[in-house]
Amino acid sequence: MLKNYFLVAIRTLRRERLYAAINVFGLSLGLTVCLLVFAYVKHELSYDRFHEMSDRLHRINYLTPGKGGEVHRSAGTAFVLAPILREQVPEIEAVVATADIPEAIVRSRTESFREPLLFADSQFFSVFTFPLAEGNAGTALQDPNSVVLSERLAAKYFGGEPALGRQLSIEVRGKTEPYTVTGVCTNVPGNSSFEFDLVVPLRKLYSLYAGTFEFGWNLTWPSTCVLLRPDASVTTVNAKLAALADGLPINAADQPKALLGLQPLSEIHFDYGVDNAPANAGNPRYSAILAAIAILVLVLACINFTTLAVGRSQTRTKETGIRKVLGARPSQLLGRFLSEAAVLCTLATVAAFMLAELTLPAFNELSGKRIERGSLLDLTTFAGAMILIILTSLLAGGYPALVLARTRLRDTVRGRAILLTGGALTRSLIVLQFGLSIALIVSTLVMANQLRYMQTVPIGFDREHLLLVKLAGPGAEKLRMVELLRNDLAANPDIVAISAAGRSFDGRGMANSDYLPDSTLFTAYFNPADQYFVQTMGLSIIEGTNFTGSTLPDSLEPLLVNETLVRELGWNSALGRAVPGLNGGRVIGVVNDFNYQSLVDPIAPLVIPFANAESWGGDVRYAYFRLKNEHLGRTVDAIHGAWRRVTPQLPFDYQFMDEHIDAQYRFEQRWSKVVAYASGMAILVACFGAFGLTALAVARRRKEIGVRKVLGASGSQIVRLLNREFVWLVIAGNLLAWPAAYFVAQKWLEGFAYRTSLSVWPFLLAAAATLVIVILTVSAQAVRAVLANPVESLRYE
Amino acid sequence: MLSAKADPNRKSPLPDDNALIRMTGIYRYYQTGAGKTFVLNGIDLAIQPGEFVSIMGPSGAGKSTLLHIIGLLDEPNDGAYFLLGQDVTRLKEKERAEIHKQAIGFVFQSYHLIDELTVSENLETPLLYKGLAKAERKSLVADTLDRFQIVGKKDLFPSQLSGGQQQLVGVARAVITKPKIILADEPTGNLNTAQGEEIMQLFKRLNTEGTTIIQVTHSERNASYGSRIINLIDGRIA
Repeated sequence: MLKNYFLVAIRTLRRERLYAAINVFGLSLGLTVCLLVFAYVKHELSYDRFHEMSDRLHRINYLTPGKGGEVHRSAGTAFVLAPILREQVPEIEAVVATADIPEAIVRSRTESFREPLLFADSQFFSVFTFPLAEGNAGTALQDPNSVVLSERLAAKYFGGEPALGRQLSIEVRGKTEPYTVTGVCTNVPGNSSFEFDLVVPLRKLYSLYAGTFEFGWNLTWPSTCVLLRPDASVTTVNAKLAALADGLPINAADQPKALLGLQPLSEIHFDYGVDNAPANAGNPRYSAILAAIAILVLVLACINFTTLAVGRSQTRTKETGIRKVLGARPSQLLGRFLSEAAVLCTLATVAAFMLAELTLPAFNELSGKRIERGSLLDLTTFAGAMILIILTSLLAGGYPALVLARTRLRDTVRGRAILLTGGALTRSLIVLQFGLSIALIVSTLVMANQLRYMQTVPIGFDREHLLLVKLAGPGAEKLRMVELLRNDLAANPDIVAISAAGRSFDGRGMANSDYLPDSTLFTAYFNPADQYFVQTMGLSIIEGTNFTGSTLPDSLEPLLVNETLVRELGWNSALGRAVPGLNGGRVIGVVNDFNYQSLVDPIAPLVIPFANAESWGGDVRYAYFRLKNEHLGRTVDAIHGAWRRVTPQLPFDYQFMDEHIDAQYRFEQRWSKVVAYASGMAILVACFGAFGLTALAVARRRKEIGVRKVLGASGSQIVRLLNREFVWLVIAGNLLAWPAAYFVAQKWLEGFAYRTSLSVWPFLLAAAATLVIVILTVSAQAVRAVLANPVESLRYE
Repeated sequence: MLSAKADPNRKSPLPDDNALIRMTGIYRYYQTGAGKTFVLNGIDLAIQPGEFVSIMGPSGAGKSTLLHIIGLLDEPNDGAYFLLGQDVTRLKEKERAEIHKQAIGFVFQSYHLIDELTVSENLETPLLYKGLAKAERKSLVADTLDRFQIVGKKDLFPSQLSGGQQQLVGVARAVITKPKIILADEPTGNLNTAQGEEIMQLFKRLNTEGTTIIQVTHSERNASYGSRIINLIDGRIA
């Protein structure tokens, strides 16, 4: 029986190739997106579960009660915490503290590279499952000047040669020392919260930062992970940690008392809300949005399947009737049509697997993940695909199958068309399809608008023609370099000003939070700079003076602050006051507000401390060059030349400020791309459906078209006739989509402190685009009907 | 004026004979605008096993509707219908499917073969619904192909056959399940004279072998093959 059904199904599809192709293509598109998103979600959920002891691994968080019962959580802990945990909590088998810095300069042979660096306790490689290809996991981080490389870096530095025992010179904070390679670990998997290529013992950090920091309770930097004993209960340990925290000066005396809490390592990936979360922490909402988009595209394809199958029911009714007359029971008829759906879905799934394999690199690029090829081809994905096939078959084939199986015999045997083609259901499905496409197009346009807005709106300074070059070395050295560059380039008429500053405006940077007397949390950001900063940025001093006019005694640091800081602290005059959390400095001037952060956030309080060799010099990271509009290329070359004269060793690593600023919107750009792709696919699938349905309508109305032509209808009248219905459906789709799109776009825009107003244009554009696309699609089919000889169409009547 | 409800006494006459088909007071109408249009207007009919009945009459007399009701493809609005001694006026879809596959074979004017199946697969389809085992199906199909002398066509698709050959397959498919009754709606309507002749000879032979045949036809010549003619005019037996 099944063989008979599949035989008929396959032969039917071979005969009706257009129909089959539209369905298979649409479905495979939907399924491809589903597969990719499935792999994405699986990847997100698999974070940190690859550690062999992952069920016993936890991160320690600080839990500080805030206003209104909320708990402020932070994953940044004190260096002094780890030894205490080791000693006082017997249920804890091992403690591993890690801290990373964004940049160290590694010199191998003659080349030098900038690499992020991870400092880790010596048990790092025995507690976490990052297998060493070379070296001993237990002892690799014993010696303070040892370093473990990833295979990637080992290959980069040493080619194919064994790396173990080789020397590397690494510069951290201007201190260059030789390190011995004691291990090479396999590359960190894409689903790890720890991301590293270069690991140095945590002990080394103490000597590198000796004199800079006091390693007490005030310094919260490393993240502390613990391995519980196999028999330890989380509740007991949490209770012990609470008791322990009570006696520890975790927060300063004038601040609320902090607790310690365990958080399973497998949960930290989705906990992006905690302070000092890993840089790659993810928001589960985006997994949900992606899944919704995937299901949406699949549903659109299923709608095609249904409307097309219903549209074809005229040819199907005959077969149904015959089978009924031959004694088929309704359930057997259902099987017949579901098997056809199953054949199509299976074809589509095979195509989808191939498409997903092909598009995985592009998807990784888009999602910013490293999902490996193989993860599409494992058992869970296959099981998922099987469930998808069954669900899709039922969803897409179920309705037409049910209708056909239920059709009254008398009608079927007479081959009478069951008037489903113009049915309310088909129409509502098409309206829904176009509605979703239109809503997605509107969203794409609104997102693109907002991105353009953020890149062009005035932000308080001229973001163009501002060149940033990365500095390296100790603080005094960096400031001296900028001084030398300034002297070297003094005669260059195309350079307006040169300054040393800390921030790159790419979203990262120093901040300090402190509790105000009314116990609200006050956060200020820092951008240490020299006296040329105001001129280089083109800022204006609203109150007080620049650093050069400072009359403060040497014991006090001069500070510039922005207008927002003054407003937030409710000061009448800022001059001479101290900023909370920064008692060694006094405000000597106020500069106008400018957006030094992403436009997602409103301008926050900013402190510009004066950078000199004694203080803040180490935190200077860039030389800023304000250039004139002309001869940009020549000027950059001149700066490069000066750079080579001043510091022949260091790479000339430069970028323009507007590029830095755009980099802040990588996330928004990524999501606007995702939505753009989704809307492209939605409209494509919807058009496939319109194309197929028109083909069917033309077939069904062959006789009508023939008669009309014989009666003298012109070609364009017939094309209009066939278009009319679809045009109305698209208009209805617009009316459906607009309020929904308006609501969603409004909500999305509300997430930005600086946003465009929602204009009518995206809506009109989406409507026009869909109308044009649909009319073109339908007309392509209609023209064929017009060109047909009416005698042919009428011959069989 | 006729009432929609007929005399209740006529509703359940005892099947006191061994008639294959017994109909009493069958009405079939369509709701049109204000009133009803009657297609069948009180049909009383009995057909005995082994008869070869031709239903004749002008266009619109209700011939096809009557045949459809006999074949359980349509239901009467009123009246009683006993098939093989069983009341079949109110049947469920499943029970109807059961009767179709056990007792009735259909032959249509436009053949109604399944276009996507070959000749032998078309013949096999009713056997599948009967639930026969594969070996049994194969031998029945082979026998039938033999008997109708279409072995050479067994792997061809309907579109590759002439109308006469298609109708031959249509008849073969109708008889392969050995039904008691064959219902034929203008079986030769789309055929030329020679092809029509061949099909009627075939019916004649099947009838002598014991199958009851009921055909709708316009042709006196076709009707002459039968044992009885029922003339239908305006939904009544003349």
